[in-house]
Amino acid sequence: MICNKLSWEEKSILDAAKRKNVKVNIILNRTYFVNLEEDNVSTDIILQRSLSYVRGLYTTAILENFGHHVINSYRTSEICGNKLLTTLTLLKEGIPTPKTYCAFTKESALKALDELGYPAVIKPIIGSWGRLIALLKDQDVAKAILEDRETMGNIFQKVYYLQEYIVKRARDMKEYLRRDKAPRDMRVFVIGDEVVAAMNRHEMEGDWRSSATRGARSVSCDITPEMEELALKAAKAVNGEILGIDLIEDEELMVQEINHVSGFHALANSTGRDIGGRIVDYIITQIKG
Amino acid sequence: MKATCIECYFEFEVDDDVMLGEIIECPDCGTELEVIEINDKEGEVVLQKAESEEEDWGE
Repeated sequence: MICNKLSWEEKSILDAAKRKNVKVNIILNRTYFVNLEEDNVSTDIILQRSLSYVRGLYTTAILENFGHHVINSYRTSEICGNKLLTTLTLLKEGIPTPKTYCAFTKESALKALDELGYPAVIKPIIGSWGRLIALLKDQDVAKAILEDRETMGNIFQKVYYLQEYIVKRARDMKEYLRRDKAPRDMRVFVIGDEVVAAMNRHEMEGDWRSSATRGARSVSCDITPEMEELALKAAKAVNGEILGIDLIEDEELMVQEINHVSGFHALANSTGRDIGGRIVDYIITQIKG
Repeated sequence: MKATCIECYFEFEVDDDVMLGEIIECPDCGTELEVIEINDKEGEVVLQKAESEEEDWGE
């Protein structure tokens, strides 16, 4: 298992592996180095759990080149770690996803936003945990945010990924408990060809984002046939093995994002499912297969 | 196992089954610390300040 550190998820996988008599070697990506002509990792299979997208992506590329089976693959990681590539893949496969525009300068981004309409959301194509995602309520806000992005050193911040803002009808627990409308932001966890758990996410008051890392409240939910079908279709589109798929509902259920190194602490807590154990079970089948 | 915070030098106990790469919070100053060495003989673990979150971190 490759990781940045042993977070709750990694410890849960290690505990499960111990229970199932599976030996796990931990490679901390911070300490990893390799002669690119000589494999220095000996193992049956590799689980990629790097929090760092760049370190994860390239360690996967290197290890796949040596012939290792890495979960998830380089191509899956490349697509899922990049929102633009994810959207393109979903569209190509005819999977519903929020309407999205892409532009490369402030001026063209403003024109794109005129077409898309306000409010809209700007997201970095690479990045997670709701970092640097901004709600563009009107053109003035958009101009200010785009000017900020133009001064940022990171070249990826200058790829303007602009998405329609899906207004959630049930924005908090109070509204949810009234049951007039179902909450519409869900995390669905897929292992192999099975959906193993799902939860609704309710953003905290004062934050429109519903990432668990941002303090969103997680509540277990039933896996409807519609959710299952969509999540499995999305997993197949990116050829993923272990994924956290974010669904959002507007007129129809859509795929918002696919996470290739998905956290599952909040999901395990809210559903009571042994997700670490399910991951280890799946890995065993892949070794035997 | 004994551990010492590298920020405030507070000495504290950690579980015997502690693992390399595990993140521990100093009970005194709250600094996030990473286990970089486990010395079973001495009953000590060596800590360093945990890596801070980078722009590409996420899950």
